[in-house]
Amino acid sequence: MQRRLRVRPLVLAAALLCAPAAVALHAQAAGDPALTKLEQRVARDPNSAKAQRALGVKYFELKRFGEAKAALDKARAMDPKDGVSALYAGMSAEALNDFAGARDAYSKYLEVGKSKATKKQINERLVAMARDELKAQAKQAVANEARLRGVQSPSTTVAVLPFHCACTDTALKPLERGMADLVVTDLARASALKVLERDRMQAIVDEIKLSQTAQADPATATRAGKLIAAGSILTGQIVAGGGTQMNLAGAVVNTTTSQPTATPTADGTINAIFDTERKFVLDVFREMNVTLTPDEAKAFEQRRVPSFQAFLAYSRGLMAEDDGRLDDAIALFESARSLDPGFGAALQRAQSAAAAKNGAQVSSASVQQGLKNTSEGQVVSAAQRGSTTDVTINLTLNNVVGDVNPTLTNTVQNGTSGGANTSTNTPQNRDATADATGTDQPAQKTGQITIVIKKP
Amino acid sequence: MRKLIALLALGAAPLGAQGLSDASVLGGPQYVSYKIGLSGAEKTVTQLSVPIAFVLPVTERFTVDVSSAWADSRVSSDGVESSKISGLTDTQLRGNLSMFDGSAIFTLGVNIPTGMYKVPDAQQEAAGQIGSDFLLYPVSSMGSGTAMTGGVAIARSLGDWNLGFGGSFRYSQPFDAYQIQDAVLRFEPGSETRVRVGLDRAVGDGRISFAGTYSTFTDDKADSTTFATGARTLAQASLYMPTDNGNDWSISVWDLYRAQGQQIGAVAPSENIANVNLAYGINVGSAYIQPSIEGRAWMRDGEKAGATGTGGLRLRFDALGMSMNPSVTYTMGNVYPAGSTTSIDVSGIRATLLIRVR
Repeated sequence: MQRRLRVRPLVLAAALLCAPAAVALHAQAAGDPALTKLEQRVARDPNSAKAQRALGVKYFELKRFGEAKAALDKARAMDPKDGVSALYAGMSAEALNDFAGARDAYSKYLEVGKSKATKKQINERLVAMARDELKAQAKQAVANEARLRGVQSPSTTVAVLPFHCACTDTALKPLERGMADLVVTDLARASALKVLERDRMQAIVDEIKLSQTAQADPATATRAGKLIAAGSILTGQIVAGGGTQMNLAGAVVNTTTSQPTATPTADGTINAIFDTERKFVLDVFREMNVTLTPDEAKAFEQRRVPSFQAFLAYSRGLMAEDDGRLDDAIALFESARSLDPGFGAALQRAQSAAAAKNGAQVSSASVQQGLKNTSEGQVVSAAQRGSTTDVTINLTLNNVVGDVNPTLTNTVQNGTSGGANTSTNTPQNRDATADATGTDQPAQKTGQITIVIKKP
Repeated sequence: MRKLIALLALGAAPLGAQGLSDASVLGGPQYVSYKIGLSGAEKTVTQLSVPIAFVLPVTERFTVDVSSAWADSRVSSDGVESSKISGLTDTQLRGNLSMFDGSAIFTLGVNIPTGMYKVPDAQQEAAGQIGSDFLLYPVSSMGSGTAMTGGVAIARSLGDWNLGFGGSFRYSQPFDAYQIQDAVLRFEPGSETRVRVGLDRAVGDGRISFAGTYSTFTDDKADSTTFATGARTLAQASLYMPTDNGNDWSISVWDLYRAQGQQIGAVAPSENIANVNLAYGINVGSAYIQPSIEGRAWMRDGEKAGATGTGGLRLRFDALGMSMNPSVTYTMGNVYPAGSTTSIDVSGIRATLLIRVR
């Protein structure tokens, strides 16, 4: 019996020493040990949101985006208020070119996420992603063009192609984009019409490399309209000779019949370009039999128009933005804003272009870098190590444990960590001997111990 | 003992690869020197210590840490050394076992008496001075006897808050504290029961936390004299907040209250020490710089006993594969001798170079 009692602790001690090494070998053989551990954890407890989240984050780290998205979606369903699941689901979806899924998950993160810096990144990323999404949609539309031929959209769904500038003065060429933008804005005042965004139309035009001269051809315009799922497509031309005279002429083409259904026109001068555009839009409404409500008509008549120079700068900004020259675009929109401080659209475009520029720099690496030292970052780090532990609880536990049974280790650890742990120390343990003798008092010339010792 | 081994074995059931490669070693020299009083009646207490801590995650759930220090403490009066104690301190061995999916930690620590015992007359002043709760020397005791501390801490979420609760019990065995002439003073510290409550939550990207610790002691004994030094209550609060530019600031406050008790042959008056620390951390490339200011006030039996103000600078950077953490602080203030309304100036410097080997 005596012998057995001696041996058992030794065997246990040996097991303690050997077990980690054995597990390490097994884990290496099986691949990523952290992943193996998390997969086992999820197999044991598939209804654990923390386990699904950790597995999703780990899959994302390993660039297994489909599996990451699946695990993270499960985690989100179980715990909709978890920011890390939403964030990583968004990044996984984006990596899969699932823009709708990414937008949904990112929007959720903006709602429930905790890291302010990461929210800013995601806000910017959403703007940049919207541009990528437009391009992807345009590519997709062209790829599915044959199928789209049979699709009929309502004629009240209207898209506007960039205008063609037949101008002697080439400085006016940027008005092609600005005029389309302005017309889209004004047509959209009519609730009877569904007007598609200029940026979406531009993405289609860029994708099919539609030349401006070809836009006038109803068949070509129809193709562009079909691709954007518009029932009607408006083409337009700015005609400006050498003088101040200017007119606008357009055609509304039905994308089902490829036939023009309206041919709006308006005459005016360069100096009164906004008044000419107003007449043009009213002609579109008249020819399409669109009646504005009194409120819509009032809003249209009371619309604020910028100065011509500001609008020209704005139009140049649109051109730069369409070409992907975001720095130039920001500068031009800001120039438009400084030329006309009340030009709200220029401010919005400048902010959007700046966000898009920043958002283009946002990557999963920069997001993870931004999460460092945050509670969400600690969740990610734990998952990458294969742990599902809620590290915020860990912080709480360490906060309690550190003082329940403090040792010198705690003091040294505090001194080597940053952030929340400052260099300040607390008196964690009493020195019983000094307390008893009072020799710890600093304001004494010398220590004095008075002890009565009873000799045996 | 068999239960303990079974518990350790349970903790050792590994979920992931852990081993010596995951261990960390922390340590480095710390120097503290306080000058108390003016020229002609000046006392200087200086301590040079080198703590070392070794943290080994045996498994994902079970961690062991061992810590000890070498310390040299000296007291001099008007430049003439009056007392000195130098050597190894006690060694603390502690195991931490995480259970219930990380929501509870069991901890068991042993204080191994490798420090200084039977401290002779000439060393007693230095040994006592470093125990000050007000000036807080890095090594506050050169030996406190064999002791065992068992504790448990649990935590759970309550909405946005996390609540932690912990308790521990420390049992100490008698030890030979002082050698006074031919006689040895045998000292038996009372057992300590400690409870702690912690509460924290995320605030934006930062964190706010509160904690309170209450320690009560059974009677101490020095030979045949029995006494009790008074229960201690420590309240703590801290707020840590990263800024948009990647830096951070933090404020931490603690207050220690010791109830009235008894010393050997005298009353130990109640005392209260309050401390506030404000720090701003700046990330410069891969380095971290943290200037700080700190204020501390000490009351004894309801009367002013001392106050200090401290300015400090802490750095953290990686070099040679290690995390280097040098810091320096300078303190100015005063203390009041017991029963006196006349203050004595205090000034001091503290310099450390703590190193973490990952």
